[in-house]
Amino acid sequence: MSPVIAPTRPAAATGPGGSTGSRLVGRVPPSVRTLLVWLVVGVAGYAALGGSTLFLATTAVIYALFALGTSIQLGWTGMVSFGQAAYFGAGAYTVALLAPAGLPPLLALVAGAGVAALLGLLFSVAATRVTGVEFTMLTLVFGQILFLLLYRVPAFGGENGLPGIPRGTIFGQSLFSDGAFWVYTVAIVAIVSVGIRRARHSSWGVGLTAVRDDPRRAAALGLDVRMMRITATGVAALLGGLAGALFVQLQGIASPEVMSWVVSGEVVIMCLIGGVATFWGPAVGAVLFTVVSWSLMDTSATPELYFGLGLLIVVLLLPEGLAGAATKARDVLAGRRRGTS
Amino acid sequence: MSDQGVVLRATGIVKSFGGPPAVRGASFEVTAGETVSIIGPNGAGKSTLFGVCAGEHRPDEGAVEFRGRTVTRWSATRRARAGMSRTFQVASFFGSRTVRENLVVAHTATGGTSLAFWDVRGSAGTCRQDVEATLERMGLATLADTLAENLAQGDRKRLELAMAMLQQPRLLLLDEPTAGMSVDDIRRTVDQLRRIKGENPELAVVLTAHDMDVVFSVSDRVVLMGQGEVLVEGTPAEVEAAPETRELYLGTVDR
Repeated sequence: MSPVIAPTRPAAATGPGGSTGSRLVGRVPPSVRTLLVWLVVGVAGYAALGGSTLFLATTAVIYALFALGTSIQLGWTGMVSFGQAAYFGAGAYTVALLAPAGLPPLLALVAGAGVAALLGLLFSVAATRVTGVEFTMLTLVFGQILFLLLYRVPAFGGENGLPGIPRGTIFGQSLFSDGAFWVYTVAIVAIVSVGIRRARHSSWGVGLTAVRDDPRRAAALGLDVRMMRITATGVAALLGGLAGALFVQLQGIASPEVMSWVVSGEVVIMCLIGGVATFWGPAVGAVLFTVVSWSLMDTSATPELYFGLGLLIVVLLLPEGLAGAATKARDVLAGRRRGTS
Repeated sequence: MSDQGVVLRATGIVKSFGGPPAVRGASFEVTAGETVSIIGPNGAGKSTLFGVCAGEHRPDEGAVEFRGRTVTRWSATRRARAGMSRTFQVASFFGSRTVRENLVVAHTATGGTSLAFWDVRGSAGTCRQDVEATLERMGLATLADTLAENLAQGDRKRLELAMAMLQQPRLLLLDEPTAGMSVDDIRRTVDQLRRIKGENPELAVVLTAHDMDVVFSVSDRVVLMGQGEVLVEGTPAEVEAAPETRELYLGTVDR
């Protein structure tokens, strides 16, 4: 199996196998490195972008969060889901429905993420009775049922969705300007990323990858395979809901498209392009996807066609995605091939 | 016998897979510090009985007790958490990970800490110490950074044994621990099993094996099965001398 997550990397780097090229980087803990990356992204975006490009960048960062969350289920645990839009949409519509209550923006995010997480847990408690393709089919059905409910239940506003959602004010600072909302978004995604990064090497993260690689072996070692799958789905749903909630605050409207199966498919494509089992891959894939989609929007070309082709190339040539390929290239350059002694 | 020392007790196990029962009313027990081998020709039901003990199969009749608690309906996971570690006939591990990483996973899975989101494994104190110590003790230190799928047959079995021992089990269940091994590897494994027993005097071991040399050199007691039933049970010498053994293994044992 190709995706490799190295749970002991920090330990191994100090051992005899430690690389010389990344010695300096190796001293900085991964969570601090993650924070630094987002700090650079945040400052660079704030300084260099404005107007529609900053709006686009904010969208890309929100999708990056969505993809990072999805990769926990898809990449770490190996559960293929085509219903992730259900959680994105649940977060979005929760914020929209709560808008009249005038909640502070952060509280609205917590509510959106919470509703999505609850939905994810309920769904997975039922759906993890099956695995593989059967599970994937259930995610598709689940997503479509919720999507149709948006049109059937009048409170969800039907085709028009729920418009007029204010961005609100945080610490006395209005989020109305795109610059302020950019900082707000990057700060939240940065903090959440540190949590994900940390979880990746936690007992839970190691357990999820064990379940993915060999469920029978994992069970024989004492891992509760079903509980691991349920919690992976729950956390992916939580983060999907958070992304959806941010998305609605950015857009000012919750429209039914956020819950369509197209969005579910797109987030899977983002993960695959970037490298589903790597940490940064899904985020890189999401940014690339968002930017390329946007630049093709004004042309007559259909972005789907390009993404279809791009995905084909990645799956065939770079099974670990762009991030996996980058890691490999770095390892080769550093004259080190881990594990092939 | 006093119940105090009994680690595993299987009573009246019956198990069929649709057809005639593979095991028909087998019983045996293992006390702390004891090594019991289940032997018998192909189709005797030893693998099924082993699977019932490990939680792989649920028996149609009979009960399995582990340290005084009835575990008959417990999943393999729950049994593992309670202190039953096992190996598989075909060594089972995480092939795309290094030997060290496999041990980290085994350590992580021990004792049900799998919902801890924040503790970083591998670099964490006790985990790292335990893993490094086990690598050393099991003779895997030089292979620590090798991908498990690249290991030779004997080392694969050794890795699996190391993963099981890292969990500090009360009961070690070994399914054909020397199957497919070279003569040298078999000798090393036997030595290793003896050393493990020396270091863990309370550890109970149940193993199935074809190789009579292995069985007679590591076992305190031997359970001979034939056609789903326990035919003879006793010390290696007693079982070796029993007429049933002669009958079942006639021409196949040359000692």
